Amino acid sequence: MTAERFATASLSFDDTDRLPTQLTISLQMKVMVTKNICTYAGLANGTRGTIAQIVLDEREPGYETPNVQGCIALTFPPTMLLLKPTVPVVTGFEGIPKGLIPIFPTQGSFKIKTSSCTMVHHQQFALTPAYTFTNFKSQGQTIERVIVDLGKTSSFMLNPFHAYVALYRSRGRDMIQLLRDFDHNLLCHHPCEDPLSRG
Amino acid sequence: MIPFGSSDILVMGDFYQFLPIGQHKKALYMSFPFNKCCEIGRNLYLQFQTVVLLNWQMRITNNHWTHILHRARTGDCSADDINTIQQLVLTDSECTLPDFGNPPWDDAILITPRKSLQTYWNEAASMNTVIPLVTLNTLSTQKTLFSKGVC
Repeated sequence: MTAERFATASLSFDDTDRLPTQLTISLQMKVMVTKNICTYAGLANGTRGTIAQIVLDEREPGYETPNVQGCIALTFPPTMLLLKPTVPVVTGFEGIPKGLIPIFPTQGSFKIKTSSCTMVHHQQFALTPAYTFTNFKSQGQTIERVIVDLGKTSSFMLNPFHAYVALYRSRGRDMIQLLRDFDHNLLCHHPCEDPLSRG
Repeated sequence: MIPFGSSDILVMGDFYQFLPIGQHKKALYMSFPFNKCCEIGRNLYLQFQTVVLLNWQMRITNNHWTHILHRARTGDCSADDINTIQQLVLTDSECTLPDFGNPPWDDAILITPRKSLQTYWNEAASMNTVIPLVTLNTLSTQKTLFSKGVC
């Protein structure tokens, strides 16, 4: 089991059916759903919100004192989380306070190679902290207060799409800030002239 | 034969935003089809006859800013536009720094193309919340599919 856990932890997010090996959650934390859990209920890839309630596993041995980093390591994944979505939903759930959506761990499967080839099924909440997004993930979202990073990167070039998509997220100039300097050329050339934008 | 089984199809998009992820050369709208299949796709695309252009951004309420962003979209920013945008850079001497410690700016979200920055930023913000709980995934049913060397 230890070998399997080690092998799993060494895999990338994409190789573990896009579910994290470890997840930090807390009350009032901003999160984003990373899978289409239940689009009908409003839980789709990209849904944002805050964690309104955490229902711990009943086997959980009560609250201990936080460790050095100020966290509590849970023995069991919580049974259920209640999400307060940023964009309110109309769907109601029996026994759940109005405006909240229940989330349960999502099951994922993938293969690992230890001494033999093993199929692993794992369960984790399909959530990610949502204090920052990539430009791609931000596309289509409205963000009330936003800080945009258009600074030069060492590994890849930004193109005009990065700038346009990010600058358009907020509702006005007094609701946006830029994290650092940017290449003015990004906003002075038509995207079609950008060799990296059009293949 | 009527395409799409005679269902009504509505295609939406903004060519100034990101291209489809992956093989964008195979997108339906590409003028030079990549292969036979793309050629069929291109033909289907050309059958969309009714085009509605949405040319006003509804999210932004300030006219002046909307116009600047409209020009940014097509890369037509003037020196004045660039200056207006440059003043938003937090490290710029002309920038009016917002109060990040209080509402509404304490709620600000960062957009960055850097994966590593995203990881650090999210971690730092998560640790700043009331008693963070760390939960590990549960590994359940595992069965050996094939012996070594086969898979």
